[in-house]
Amino acid sequence: MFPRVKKISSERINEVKVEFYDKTQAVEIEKTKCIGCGLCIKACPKGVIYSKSLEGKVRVSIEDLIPEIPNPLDCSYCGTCAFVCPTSAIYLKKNGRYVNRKDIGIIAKKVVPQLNFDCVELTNPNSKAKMFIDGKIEIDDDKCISCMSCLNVCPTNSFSKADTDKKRSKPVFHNEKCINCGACVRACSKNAIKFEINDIKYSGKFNDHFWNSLIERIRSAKVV
Amino acid sequence: MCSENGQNLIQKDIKEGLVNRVVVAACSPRMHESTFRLTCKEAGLNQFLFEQANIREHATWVNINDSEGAFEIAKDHIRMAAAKVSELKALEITKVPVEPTCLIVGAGIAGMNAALDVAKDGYEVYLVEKEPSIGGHMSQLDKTFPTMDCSACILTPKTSEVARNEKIHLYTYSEVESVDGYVGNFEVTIKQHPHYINQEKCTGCGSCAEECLVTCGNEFDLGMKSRKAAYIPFPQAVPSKYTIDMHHCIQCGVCAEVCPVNAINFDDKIKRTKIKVGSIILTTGYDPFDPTVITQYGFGKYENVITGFQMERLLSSVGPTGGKVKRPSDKKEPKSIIFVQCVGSRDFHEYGHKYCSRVCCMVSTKQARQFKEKHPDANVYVFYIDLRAFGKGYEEFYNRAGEEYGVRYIRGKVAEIYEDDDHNVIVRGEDTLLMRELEIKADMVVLAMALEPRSDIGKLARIFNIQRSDDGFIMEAHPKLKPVETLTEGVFIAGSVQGPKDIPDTVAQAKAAASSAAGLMATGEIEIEPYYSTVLDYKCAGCKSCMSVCAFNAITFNHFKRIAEINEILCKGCGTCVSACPSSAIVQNHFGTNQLNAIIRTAVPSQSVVKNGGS
Repeated sequence: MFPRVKKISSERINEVKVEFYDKTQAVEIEKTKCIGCGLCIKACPKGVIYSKSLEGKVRVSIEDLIPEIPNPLDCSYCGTCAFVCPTSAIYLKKNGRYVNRKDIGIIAKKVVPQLNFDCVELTNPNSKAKMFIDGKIEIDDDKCISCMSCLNVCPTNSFSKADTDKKRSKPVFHNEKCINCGACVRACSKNAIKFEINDIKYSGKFNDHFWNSLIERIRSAKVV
Repeated sequence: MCSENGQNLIQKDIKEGLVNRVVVAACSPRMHESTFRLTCKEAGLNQFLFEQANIREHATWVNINDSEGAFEIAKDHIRMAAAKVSELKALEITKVPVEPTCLIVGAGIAGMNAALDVAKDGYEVYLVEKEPSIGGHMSQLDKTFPTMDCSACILTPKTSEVARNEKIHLYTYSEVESVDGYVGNFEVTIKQHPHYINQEKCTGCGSCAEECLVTCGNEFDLGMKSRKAAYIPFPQAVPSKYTIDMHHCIQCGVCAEVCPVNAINFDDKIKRTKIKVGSIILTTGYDPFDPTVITQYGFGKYENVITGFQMERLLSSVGPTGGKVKRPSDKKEPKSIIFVQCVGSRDFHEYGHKYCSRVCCMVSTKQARQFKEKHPDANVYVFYIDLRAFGKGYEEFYNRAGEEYGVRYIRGKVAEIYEDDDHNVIVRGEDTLLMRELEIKADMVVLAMALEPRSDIGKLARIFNIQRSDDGFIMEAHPKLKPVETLTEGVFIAGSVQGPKDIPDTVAQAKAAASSAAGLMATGEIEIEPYYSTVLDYKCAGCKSCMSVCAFNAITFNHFKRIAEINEILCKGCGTCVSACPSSAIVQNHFGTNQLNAIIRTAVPSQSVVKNGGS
């Protein structure tokens, strides 16, 4: 029966697909590349991307932060998620073929500007990320319960243990390594990490309404 | 008595001054009360000084085996009627002017026909349609039985005629939010959903849809074909203006850049319009039954099990497959199809409907013929319980399907459908004519799903204050004699809102409803029966008990005098408020306490029950 709605979940990917008689649209999330930053969730103009509820969970790993699209029919297949993903872990597929990044509608039609980024080597997973957000991370030691979730999820090893002998201790944050992705903020169950976005680096033509509301969402959205 | 002679007899007695009250012992007042009232009126007697004792239903029919007893009961009824009539007072009929405009809800084939007819009679019509385009379900059909007319070919002239007609004011993508008032003077609020494209400016060029970056399913093709977020439901849509589906739109602004007339407006809001109409015709149609609930048929589970409506779109040359029937699993043309009848109709399970949906036998026969026309070698089977080919030319159409086209009909209900590894479907059932079980393998199964009441029909009934029958559809005032009227005066129904119907019946009803509505408006004023209740100012304590029980919203509270007031026209004289009033401050015309007391005293001579007086 059409539309055929498929959700494929393997160790490597999460894919949602909607198949019509005349067209197939899909979004693929490469789990092995995902750093759990949640930018796609914040940026999605229709709010259809979610990740599993972390309620009641204290020790969080990257797997818990990986996004999915529970209702593929609500997705507009616009590719905003693919555009913002700092590790290019999200792909848009049309009729079974991957859509080239530059051919994604919002990029080709200059709805969104060009992102200016530095390429940063990651340690976890072993790949690269685009760093286009300037921000500041602060840890509130009073709230911290030393659960080590931030250490678990940080893709650049920006956190280390204050007391290396103990199994668990308060984290120490190393600003020079941080790529301002925000994964630690999502992972912290006690809201002990504060993240402020100072600047998003971009240039070129764009649609004011779309881009401004996207930035607004990235800045303000609290993604759990 | 109801014959000319009988009536003359009554008139003669009135004219000669022998009588000043009339009681007729006969059948139901529903049938002949108006007849005898007119008789009295013509002879110069106030028509409300007449009373009819219903000895047919109340005495004879209920005691069909006991004529002696029935006779006694009949005598009681006549005595009671005589007692009541002695207490009756002459009443005057109220006349109210009628607004010469008509509201039609639903612009399918019924609504459009009704609108054109009412407009032709010279009245303004407000035609409200929920979807962005008019046309209804008929626009989704490929061909119509039994003539095999192309549905679009006979529909599009109507849609464009509706659009062109100056007397018809079209409100698409709109719903009726509330209705106040009464027959002849309804006040209606129409809620227009935002199109996000200025409908006056839009030229229908389609640039927005061409450039739109969003892909989603087109409701018109039941989600089988894709569309953009900026869309018209189908190429011949009327009005030919685009709409943005905000559920999927990402507001990227690409359409606004390419629109040559700057019609895109993301800030569009819901608009509410208030109109006054004299009459209302409801033609909101039906919903197709969702067969997912019948799990043994595997709809939604097995890819090659589809519904009749989906088949209709696959057969259509402008449908998702361009008129070539392709089965969903591998998009190959099937070589065998099985039609399963009565899916959700004539079904006594909780999920099904007990009624016959009337059209499905012919729809499947038509689809089977269409498929056989293109694929003469294909095997086409129809599993049916009873084949109902009741309309003009239907039986002949069905016979030709079997004899000329070689469609094979198997009498029996399908028990189960399952699939093999190649997604071929296997139907297990029983041939009740040959008394044997059988299993047939086919490439595809088409479920002839039932037609059911619209999911929001409860809301519709509440808004228009009309009743529903057991099957969930809207109830007509009388199944035989008032098929397009409802029990709310001034509100008419036509088409599948009243029950499943084929196109000829729907059109016939639409025309009947149109002429009834026009007839109501033609008089210019309308007579209202004076059965209303009145509040006695000096007794009313302002407790508002009456307001909470009134089913017709006829009672308002006068904050200045701190008493309840009854609108004589809205009041239907049901008497609920009279019995609810703790201080007996409400009196009712025609069914007052005096009259009821007289009846009770006659029926039970030893008792006197009610103390207070009435009118």
